[in-house]
Amino acid sequence: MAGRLRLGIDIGGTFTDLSLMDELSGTIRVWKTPSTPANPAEAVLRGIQELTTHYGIDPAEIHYFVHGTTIATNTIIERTGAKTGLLITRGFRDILRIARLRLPNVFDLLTEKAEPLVRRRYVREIDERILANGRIYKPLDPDQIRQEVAFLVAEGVETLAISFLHAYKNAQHEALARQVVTTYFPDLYVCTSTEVWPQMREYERTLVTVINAYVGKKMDRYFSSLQHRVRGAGITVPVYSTKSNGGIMTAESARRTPVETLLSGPASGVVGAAYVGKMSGYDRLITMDMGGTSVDVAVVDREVKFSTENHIGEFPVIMPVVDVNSIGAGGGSIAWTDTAGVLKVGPQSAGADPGPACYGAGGEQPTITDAYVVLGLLHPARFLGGKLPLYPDRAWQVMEKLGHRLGLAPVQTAESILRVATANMYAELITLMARKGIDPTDYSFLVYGGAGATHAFILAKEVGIKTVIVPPYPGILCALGCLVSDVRNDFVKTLYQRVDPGTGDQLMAQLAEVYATLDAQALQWLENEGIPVQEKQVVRSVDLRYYGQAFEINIPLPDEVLHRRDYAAFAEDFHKQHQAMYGYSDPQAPLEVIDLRSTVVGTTPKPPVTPQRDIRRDRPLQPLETRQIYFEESWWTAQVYAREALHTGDHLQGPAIIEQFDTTTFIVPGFTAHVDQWGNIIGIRDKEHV
Amino acid sequence: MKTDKVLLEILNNRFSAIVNEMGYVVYRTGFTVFVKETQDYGVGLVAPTGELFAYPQEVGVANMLGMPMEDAIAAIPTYQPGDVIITNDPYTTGGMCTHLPDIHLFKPLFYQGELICFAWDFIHSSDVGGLVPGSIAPSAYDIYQEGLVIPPRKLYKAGELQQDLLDLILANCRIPEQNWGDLKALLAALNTAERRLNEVIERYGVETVKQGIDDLLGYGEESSRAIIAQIPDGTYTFADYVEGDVTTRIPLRIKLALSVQGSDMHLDFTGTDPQIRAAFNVPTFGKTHHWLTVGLVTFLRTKNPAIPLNKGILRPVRTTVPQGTLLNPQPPASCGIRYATAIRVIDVTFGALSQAVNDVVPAAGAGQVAIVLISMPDYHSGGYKVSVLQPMQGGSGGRPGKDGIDGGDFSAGFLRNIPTEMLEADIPILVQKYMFPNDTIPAGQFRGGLGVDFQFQVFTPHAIVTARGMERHRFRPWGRQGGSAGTLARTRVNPGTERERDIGIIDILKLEPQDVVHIMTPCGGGYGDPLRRDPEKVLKDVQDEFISLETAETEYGVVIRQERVDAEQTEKLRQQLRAKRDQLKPFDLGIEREEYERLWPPIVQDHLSTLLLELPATLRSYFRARIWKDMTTDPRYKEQPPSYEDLLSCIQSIQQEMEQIMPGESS
Repeated sequence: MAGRLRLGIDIGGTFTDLSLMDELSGTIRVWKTPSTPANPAEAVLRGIQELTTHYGIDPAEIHYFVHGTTIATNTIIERTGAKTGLLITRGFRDILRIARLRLPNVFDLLTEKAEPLVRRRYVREIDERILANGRIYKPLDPDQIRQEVAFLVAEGVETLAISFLHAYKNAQHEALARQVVTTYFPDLYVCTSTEVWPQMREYERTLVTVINAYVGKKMDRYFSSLQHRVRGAGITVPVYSTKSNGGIMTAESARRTPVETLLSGPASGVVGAAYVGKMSGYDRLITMDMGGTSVDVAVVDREVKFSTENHIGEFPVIMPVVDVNSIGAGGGSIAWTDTAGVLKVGPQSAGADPGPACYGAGGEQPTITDAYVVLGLLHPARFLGGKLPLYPDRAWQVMEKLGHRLGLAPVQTAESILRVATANMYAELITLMARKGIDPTDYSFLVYGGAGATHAFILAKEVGIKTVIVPPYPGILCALGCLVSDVRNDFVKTLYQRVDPGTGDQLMAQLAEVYATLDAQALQWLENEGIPVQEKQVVRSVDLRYYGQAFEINIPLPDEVLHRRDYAAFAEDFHKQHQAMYGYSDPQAPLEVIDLRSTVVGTTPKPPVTPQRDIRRDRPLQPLETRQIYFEESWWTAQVYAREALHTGDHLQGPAIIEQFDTTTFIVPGFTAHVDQWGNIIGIRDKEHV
Repeated sequence: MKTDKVLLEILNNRFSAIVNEMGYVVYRTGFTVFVKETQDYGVGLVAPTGELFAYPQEVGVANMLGMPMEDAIAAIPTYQPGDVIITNDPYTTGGMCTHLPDIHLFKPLFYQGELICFAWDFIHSSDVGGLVPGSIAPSAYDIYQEGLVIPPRKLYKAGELQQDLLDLILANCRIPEQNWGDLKALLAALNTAERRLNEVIERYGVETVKQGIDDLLGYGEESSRAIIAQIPDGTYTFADYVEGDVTTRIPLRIKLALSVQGSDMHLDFTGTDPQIRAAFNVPTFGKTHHWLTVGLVTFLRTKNPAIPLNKGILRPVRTTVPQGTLLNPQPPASCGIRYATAIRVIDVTFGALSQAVNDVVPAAGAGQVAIVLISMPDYHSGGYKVSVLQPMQGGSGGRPGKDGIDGGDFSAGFLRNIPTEMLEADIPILVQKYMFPNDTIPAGQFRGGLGVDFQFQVFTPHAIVTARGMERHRFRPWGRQGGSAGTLARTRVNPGTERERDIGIIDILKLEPQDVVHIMTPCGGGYGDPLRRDPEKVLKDVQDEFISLETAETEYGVVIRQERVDAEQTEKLRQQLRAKRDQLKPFDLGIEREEYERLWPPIVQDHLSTLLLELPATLRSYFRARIWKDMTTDPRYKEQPPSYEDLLSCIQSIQQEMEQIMPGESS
């Protein structure tokens, strides 16, 4: 029968992951195929081919296809975008280079600020000016636009960003400039700051507009060719793209605002993790995606959290994005000793090439992965299902060499690497949680990524986390996230206005007016996307502060408060929130309204996932083998299991190792785990260790 | 070192986690806006010896690693669990505090009755009383004008708040609620530290932790010695000037002789000018103090980015600063703007170090950070609107192997600017320009970093602009190894019109409606021979309109034809230019300083500072100003600078004059 399968694809640096969900049976099937960075669509098509062949599936049965790509991200990081031009208000030519002044590292005399994506020659100053109140002070001259853009086009510029001062308040000049450009230079890819993200703060707004233009052309080409080629492969439904805000959009939208895909990979992972956690009854999570170079950490507090202070490479991105932060080390982090002979781990990473010494691909330095091998945590022949054979002797060699410098035997050296790496992660995690004002011991770890499950229990023990969740397929959580994301888009309007206690009613009238426009815009967007949704919702919030403060708090604006124009309730929410965050509030003080935000969410139908049945075993769970492992300065005999052999209700006592295609789980002594009805391993700290 | 090399790193990480967490507690819960914008607060863990053994990498003021705390600790006779000490007094804490707005707290941390270490934090309060709101006035001539002085006293005794003391403090500030809010944030962070230290002790054992603290400091020392040992033995001398004393307008000299022997270093600031009756003094007590070692610590951290952040890294460094000088003033010298002076100490440190090593030390950067404020009547409320216009710094110096950083320097590179859109929404001004200048880049194989031009217009009557920290209007940032000196800062009103005025360093600038103010911050000095600059980089700077075609030829000897480097012509021109020019200068100090020092040579300044040291500290700046004026205006000295004897007789005549006018006193 047609139309019962959902396909999610996540293109990573090394692998392209596919996740196929059957809406009727609730089963999920996964596939991994090597990525093809030069032409990412190759891996997508090959993956579809392999997956459908392997499982005997007719591609026409796929009626829902979401796909996440790192093309935009890589384009920024590798600086391989289009030759981009920028039109800017006169007097602000160096906006991209001045940025926000702050140096990346004031203690490094060789530090460098990020090189702008548009060189100065292609930043053209335009004689126009709009004032803070939106009034036109100096009108725009269309002829000047034409001349400047003609110069840029003659220079070979392919994409153009337009950003004028105070355009968030009055978009006329940007619109007029755009009109001139599309009239005279119809082939130029062009975007204006008000189209991309009309928020006050000229540097950040200009930057996201420039990024959008810089990656735009490439993404435009990629999505149109992908859509075409998957159709050739028998998938007739439209392609959807994941977004940095954890939502999805159509490929057409992605071609217009590719900047919204920049942080979509990590975002999908968190969405997937939150989904898995919720199903198992855990909704306060610290999600940890540990790969080769870092651990991506996010906090889920019933809902996925968003942040407007994110970065792509060295550049700030001000749009709301799923709040993910990188900490510490990854499997490829290199261990070394400094001038005083002290053991350090990272920040250098062996990456995927040459990779850890045990990959046997020329890596000469000991990494965390080598330590896992020496300690007996990873099986050399079964790593990645045997697709990547490991060379333990290489790991031992580099460990011995490092051990010489420390006066330690190889196993002790390997364990020392884990202890130092764990202390690094501990320090960074605690710092991160302090920044967010969160006590991590109130949360459970949900781990994914290649190395997440190997290290999570070690870190959990150190931090005092009681529960660790390892989903059935930790390697493909991003691809799963693709399948369960909602259609989602954010809108902003800067008000930047003082509110005195007497002027509350006036403000509410103004809010009603602005939101009438924003809501219509939001619903229209959802309509245009044409993605089938079950439910439509507009969520509003306002960035508010006391007049004169430098930082604002985001306060939700519920429907009834807006409709009743209930200023008292609105202000009360702010004072309460301020009291909670900063320990004081001042109901008499004037407020300042900064940004009005609105998010439209179209809830996509979520396929019911059927739980595994409790299988009564006719004989107890049998380990694959027992293995000697070294942990916390002693040898242990660990039971080693195959993940496929685990069933709902199985119990595992640390130390235990669970091997599967995409990861190895190490349950440390002091933790007991069971397998829940969704196939998750739920590790709980033993009482005596609490 | 008794702690093993693995445990040491683990403890280092655990302690870092504590101080980072403290930092974020202050950041999240601190009241004052200033805290968040500028991160002007600090936290750390301090050994019983008074040395910081854990200091955060990413939060708060990043450069106070050298803070001396031993005198402050000794000022309290006995400690009990639950005590919290408060102080802001430079002169009873031996230079732990360096100006009054920084309110410091510290708490002894005990484990089962035994003192293990101290948790410390401070915050720059937006007001502690004194002459002006904000408590910082350049012209304040003693510390009593700068606010309330709080010697180290217990704010909490065994966990109990001393309300009397708190009331007294808050009664002397313009913003008592905000200050109490900030103090509560600091207290919360101290408590966090206490709880976390306990966890570490319970995990690793008290003896291990105590030993670990010792060994971490030893580890710092060892790491630092490994770097210093690579510096060739010798003495490297350099001097530079602070210009901001608006009360006398006399440049103040900072002089440093940096000596290296083996892995030991000596910083000798003898020859630095006497303390002055304006807020530029830096109370260091002649210690190896944070404001004397920022440049050095930056150098160490550049050489070894993983160096442990503790005061052990300064153990190999000995410091000498004569008493009664700018860098070691006697009470009650004022010190509100001591950071302007501290920035120049960074410059002289780099000037001296760069003679010893040639791989990382840059030419001089902007060497200033001016906080420029505007105030104008608020017609709605009847009061005033006050706003920071922009933090104005300038570019860094060119670096061995790299161009200078455009628009930011190391000494205040942590500051963020203010979006023009917010500025214009907050106050009725129009920003006409906030960008780099064209064709003013100091040349070098690695060119200087660009300053920023900021130009705005006012429309309302009675607008007033004030600034603190403006420097480099008189002497340029120096260039290095053949690189050109940087550019001067410049402040003008109505540039390019008949009403153009050059303002120099702003004290108080009153504006008329429609006036335009143009502030240019300095470009840093260039590094290396411009004739060796990669011609392609010159081409790029021409194409990007940073420099003109003409400059490419005259300064760099690069011939560009049809957007291409003409290699042959370039080689020819470069040969011609090389043949014509003088020898490359190791330091290009700029013509203004060369001229000044012709009149007032370093050796004469040395003599004078030696002679002045014989006088009581409080009289020195008076004598110095008198002599400076006499000597610089006396036509006799135009050709031939004054000798030691000339100076001596000048001093004696002033003394005689004073004796004559002071009946009843005899010498």
